[in-house]
Amino acid sequence: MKKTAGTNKVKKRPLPEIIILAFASIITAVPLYYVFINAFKKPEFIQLEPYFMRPEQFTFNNIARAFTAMKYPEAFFNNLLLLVISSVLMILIGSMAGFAIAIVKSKLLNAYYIVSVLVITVPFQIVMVPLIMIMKKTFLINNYIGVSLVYVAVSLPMVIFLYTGFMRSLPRELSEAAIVDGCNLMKSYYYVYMPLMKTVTGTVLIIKGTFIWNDFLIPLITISKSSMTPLTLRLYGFASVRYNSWDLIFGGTLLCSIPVVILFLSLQKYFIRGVVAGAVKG
Amino acid sequence: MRKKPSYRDRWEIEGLIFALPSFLVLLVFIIIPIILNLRYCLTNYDGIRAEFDFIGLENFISIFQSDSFVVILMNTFQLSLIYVVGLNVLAIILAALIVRVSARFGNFVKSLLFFPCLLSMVVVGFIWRLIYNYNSGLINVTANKLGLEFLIQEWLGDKALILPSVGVSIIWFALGYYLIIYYAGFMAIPVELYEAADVEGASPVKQFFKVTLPMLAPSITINVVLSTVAILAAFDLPYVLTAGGGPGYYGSTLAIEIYRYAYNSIQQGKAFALSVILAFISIVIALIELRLFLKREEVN
Amino acid sequence: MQKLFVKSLVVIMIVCMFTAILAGCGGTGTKDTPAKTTAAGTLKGDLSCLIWLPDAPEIIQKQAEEFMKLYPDVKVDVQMMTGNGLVENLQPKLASNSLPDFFSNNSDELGGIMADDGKIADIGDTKAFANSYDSMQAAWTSPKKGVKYGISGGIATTLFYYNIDMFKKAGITEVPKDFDEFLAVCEKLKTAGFVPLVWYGGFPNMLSNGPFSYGLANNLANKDADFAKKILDGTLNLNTPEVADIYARIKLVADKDYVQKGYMSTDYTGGMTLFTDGNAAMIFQGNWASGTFMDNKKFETGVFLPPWNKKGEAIVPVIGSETGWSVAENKNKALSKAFLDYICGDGFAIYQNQRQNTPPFKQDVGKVVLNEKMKNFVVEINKSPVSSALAFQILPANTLDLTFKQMQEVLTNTKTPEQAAAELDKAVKDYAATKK
Repeated sequence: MKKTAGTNKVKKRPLPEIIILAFASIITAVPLYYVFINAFKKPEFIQLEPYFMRPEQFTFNNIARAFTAMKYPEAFFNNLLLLVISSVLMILIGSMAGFAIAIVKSKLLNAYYIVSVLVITVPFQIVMVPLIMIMKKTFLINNYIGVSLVYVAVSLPMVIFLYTGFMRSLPRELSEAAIVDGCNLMKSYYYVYMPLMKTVTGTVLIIKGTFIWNDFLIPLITISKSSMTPLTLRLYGFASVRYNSWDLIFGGTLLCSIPVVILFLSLQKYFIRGVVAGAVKG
Repeated sequence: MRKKPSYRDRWEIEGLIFALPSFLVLLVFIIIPIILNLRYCLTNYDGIRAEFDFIGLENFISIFQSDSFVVILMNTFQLSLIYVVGLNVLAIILAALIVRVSARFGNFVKSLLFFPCLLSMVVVGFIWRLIYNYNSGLINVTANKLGLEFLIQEWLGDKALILPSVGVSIIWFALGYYLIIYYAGFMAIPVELYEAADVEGASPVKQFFKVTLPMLAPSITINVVLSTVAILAAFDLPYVLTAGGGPGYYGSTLAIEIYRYAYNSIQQGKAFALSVILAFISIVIALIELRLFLKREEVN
Repeated sequence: MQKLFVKSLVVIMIVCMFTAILAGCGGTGTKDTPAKTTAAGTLKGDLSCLIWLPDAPEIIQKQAEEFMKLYPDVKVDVQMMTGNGLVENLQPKLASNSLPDFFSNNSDELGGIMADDGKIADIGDTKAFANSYDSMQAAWTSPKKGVKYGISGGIATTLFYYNIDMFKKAGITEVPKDFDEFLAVCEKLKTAGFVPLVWYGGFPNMLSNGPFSYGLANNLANKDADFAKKILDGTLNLNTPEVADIYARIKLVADKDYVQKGYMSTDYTGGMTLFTDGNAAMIFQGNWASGTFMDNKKFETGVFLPPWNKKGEAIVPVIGSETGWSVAENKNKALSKAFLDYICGDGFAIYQNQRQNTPPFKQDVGKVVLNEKMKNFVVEINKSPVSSALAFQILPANTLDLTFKQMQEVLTNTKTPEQAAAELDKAVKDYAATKK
């Protein structure tokens, strides 16, 4: 383990640094605090007293109303379903592709890799409208599998990039040893590489999982059946309501964010490690 | 000379099969829509009726001729500049600071700054809309109470302020993520380099430029490209924050206009054309940046 | 520890996958079961609704509930439209051929196109249509094929609500009868220290329904009775001083400082609150929101006809149709029509009583709650020999969106009113050319 900068750079009394960081933290936290506090504040007072809350202004009503108004269990289930299907497919398909590109020497696969990485730079807008046309023709619209496949498709270039990078960084001997033992590609993938993929898979899950859970545009244009809409769409519905439904908005925001926040707080180390790993492999 | 054992060649077919599912998904959901888009942008398809005519480059011409196009293009570039520069510079600086404080405080700051990433962009848009509200928003109300008159502005109504306002809120959203990446980059710099620099008597500032930045080059490259691509396509947050593009076209970007053409006014052909323009810009800029930064990496 | 975590995660995923596949199968072929009406009149089936009612979504929820109580074999699924208007909600559905069975619609160019294209069912045989005023029936008939494509949600007009107390304090004894008098009234209010007018700089939709529509009415409609038809044909020259004046007036009021601070970012709600909180003397709003303004406990509210006319000329009122409802042309239309008749029949009171808008029906259906002043107001304006519809009913959809941006550009001095008029003229003519 190399001695890295971190171990040596910690100052004894880094006062200016602490002040600046504290300042940055406060600026970041204020909007969060604002949302959190107003989720529990009676709606009449939300506009009047943005900062503080007196005990008599406290209420669970906002959250309760939002819970019923957005039919939270149903919406939560929708989100979960989309997340799970998309993630599983994305990881399976992406890792297999990454594996093939990294291990098998083939001009075709290399070309495929380059095209796939190029797609990362293509904005979603160019795909947006024709995608609906295609999905309608193939009956994938208003269908969990269809929407999940869309998420898989927009995430694949990045996922393939990450898996390829990871596989390439593993020592060559691994695959050579597998071949000597008489494995074909499939067995090699399954027995040798898959167990090692945990970190990258974690990264993918975290980055793309948050994206899918919080995404708004794709469900907006692909889902029209109201019982299938995810949390973000319902929240947007509240916020589009003309006349002052702050209680629903803030309560709803809290409800939507809670799952991800809880996950983050409990898996903080892994979250951060995952993001780091993703970047380093890049 | 004996040919190398064709382990690779032998498995090529299987390898292709492995990559096939991903290829199919990308084909159906990305490649084909792009091709369709290229086709439709040359027609006057309006999204409702089945018939349409081939009109060549008319969509593009009418876009280039419209008064608003230049404004929107400038807005897109301005916002991108604010975002990419602001985000990366802030993230690097904050990461540099975090490295120098105690691990506990540093972890706390990292986690706190990562929180906004956990929220939905739509939510972030609405929250900041409230914060920027002229009459009852946090900024103006606070400024009023503290007597800081110059801080009471029409954050979302003033031509000059709307793009920076959008920029600030998007940076707030994404900072934590990039911060963590840079932090990792910092931690990976071997201490020997700094020790060598100390021996040569280099000041901390010089060390930063001669040692830190070059070592961070790969992270910088990736982050700049990623943030550029992200902001060019960013729709959710700007759309919600500017309520559809702000006053006139002052808060509108290419991404917002594409959505507006496609869904607010029945001009799908123009939406297609504009998205082709956006894709072109995005790819070209990303490639230029890659070229630029990879060369830097090589030099160092 | 990590192994257990990962293992359990995998198990959960597999379970969810199975549920997904089951659910995914259920996701597609849904409303293929057409409604069956038995001899006894009981209805069966699933009905999907997409409704535009941003100020009161609970209304349609209640109507759906009551309908389901009447017909227990029917399931009504209500989804609310979001965003800034109907077009952005309907467009994707049209493009993907997934129009809901029952949806909110406007009597405008898009509605006509959808009807002529066979996407909307003809509801001329419903009780609701027969009960609609002639003017409403005419407004909801498609131009090319004469398809009766919807029922109006109410007679719509925009007008000035004003704070009677403020007027008294400013020494104003009469409501203004022409535009010059209007400016004088604003000046008096300003001198008295009040904010004369709420201006929706940040919500051009309301500017369109208000001053822009009245501009069309008083600058164009009184000169040419066919002007609306000519606009759609592209034969009316819009690059004229009259049209420029429409934009100019919107700007004039702001330039003279008769409006609230920060008006460029005032949104729909913000504007309403400004008036109802007693912070502005007048607001140019719709009669569909009369409930909010007239029921005000803080002060007495009056109404007057927007005097967008020249001295000596009669005011041409704007009388249009509110957003109404249409039925998709699909297998489910019998059930949808039944729901339509309910909403415009027994269920109408749920809608009207809360919103206090003006019903479009010849015969009252159920209890009508309408402020006396509003009722008298609508009776008065219906007496006028000339009237004009709301801007969104006159302009083609793509140019309507353009005018929103233009008004903001004029307000922020980015465009002159003349430039806006020229641009509008070109856009309308270009659009008409594509229709040939």
